[in-house]
Amino acid sequence: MAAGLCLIIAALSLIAYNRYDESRAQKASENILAQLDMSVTESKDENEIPDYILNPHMEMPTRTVDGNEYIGILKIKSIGLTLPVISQCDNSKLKIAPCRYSGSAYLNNMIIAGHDYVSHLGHMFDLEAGDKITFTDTDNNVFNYEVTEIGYLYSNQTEEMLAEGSWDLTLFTCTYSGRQRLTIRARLIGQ
Amino acid sequence: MKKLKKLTVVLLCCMLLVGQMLVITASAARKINLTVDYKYEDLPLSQAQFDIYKIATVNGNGEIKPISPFSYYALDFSKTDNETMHSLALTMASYIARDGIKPYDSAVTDADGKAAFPNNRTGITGGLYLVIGHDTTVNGVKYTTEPFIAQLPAKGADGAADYDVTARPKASDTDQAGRGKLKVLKVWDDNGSTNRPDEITVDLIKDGKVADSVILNNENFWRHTWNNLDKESRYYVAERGAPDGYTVLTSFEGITFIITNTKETPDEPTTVPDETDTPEDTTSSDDTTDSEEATTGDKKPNLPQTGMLRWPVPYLACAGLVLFMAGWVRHRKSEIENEE
Repeated sequence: MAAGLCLIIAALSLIAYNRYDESRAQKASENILAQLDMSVTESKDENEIPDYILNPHMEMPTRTVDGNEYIGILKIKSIGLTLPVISQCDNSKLKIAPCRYSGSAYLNNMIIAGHDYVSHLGHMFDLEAGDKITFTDTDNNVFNYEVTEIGYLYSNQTEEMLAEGSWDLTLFTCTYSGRQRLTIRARLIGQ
Repeated sequence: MKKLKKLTVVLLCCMLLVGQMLVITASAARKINLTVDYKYEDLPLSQAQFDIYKIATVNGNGEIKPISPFSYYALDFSKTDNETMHSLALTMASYIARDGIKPYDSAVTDADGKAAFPNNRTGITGGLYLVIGHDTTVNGVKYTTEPFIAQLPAKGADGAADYDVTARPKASDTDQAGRGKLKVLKVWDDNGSTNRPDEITVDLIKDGKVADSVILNNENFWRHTWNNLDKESRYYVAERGAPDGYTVLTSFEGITFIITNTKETPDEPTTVPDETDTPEDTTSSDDTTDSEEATTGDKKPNLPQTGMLRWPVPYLACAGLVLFMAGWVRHRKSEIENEE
């Protein structure tokens, strides 16, 4: 009976830790969003051509908040999501906000990885083909996408994740088991 | 006999004289003339100064050889398409503005908007010329034009040399500086070479003088914006000292000067297809589910772990409940047995 009680306490502890981690992640991304004030970018001249059009191979400009560099903001209206996106990906950064795993919005091959926290990409399971995704870079250039494919890849299917296709943006997050990655492919519908 | 000799000498002199005259006539016929016909739609634009600079010679095979001082700049004359020549003209105009290079000849447009070359010289020799038109104001409107390159003599439609060339530069009534804002953007055309310099310096030239200098590097994403510029002035940008092994080409789009450095001997393309590397294996110590799929050799690392550790919860809870229930049942049984 004591052993059973221990296991139940372990399960409850894990749930409590995940709740705490979830709440911390939500606060972290909200805090970053508040500091990552995109409205302060300078006004554009009517003759101005965005730099990324003049040089699509340019590095995506970043803004630094709390030591991390952010490339822009991801919005998915259908699931009420607005999140900052960190320029580069590692485990510690993923605990703060979704990260750019690879590519560039300017080259139509950007891949964003996000934790499955409810406040991050946890609700991505509710997305359907046709849903709209918006990415705004730190120069205030807006890229509008539409979900075209929803699939699953195993964690060792890196080549498949990076493969070029008819999509311009990819988002992925873990499934419940952690063995697979829910993979959302979207195509650019406007800038 | 003496008379015959005299007659022969006179005849020879006459022949020489005629020959000389023929040569003079022929060279006069081959005199090169360049007329700039400067109009905005049908409006002749007068009082606009045009400067010409001889930048290169062109041999019979069409090979271009830049001449001093333009041969000292890192310019590439191997491409002669319109877009490249247009950018070359802007690049050289920037150097001329910064380094104060004197023109080969100058002329001002008359009431018909025409400026004729040669003007201050006796003649123009064949070659490649850069033509720079200065701003002019007609009826209260300021007109500007882009620098351009002209080959003299030009090639006619039939392939024959055309010694009387008329150039019609396009006039614009839009201020270059727009609302007082200009940008510069650096582009590296070198297959992602790792031998790029860490930074470059770019001069902003206002009316022939360096008005500002900025350093472009990774930190500012190789770009800069100038605000609050004088709308009445003509601006150029010039890279200071092109990196070794690179050529320079400047173009202007919208309000942005694009300075492209092209590596003369490109490196082999790098294997990284995108601007960012795929992250190294980001599997953490708590990533128990992926441990058996660890990567080996040059295989790409696994995708990062993006999930919370939730899968053990139902197993722990179920196992805990079963054990607890079993223990409770056993405990109750022993209690009942003790009561009996």
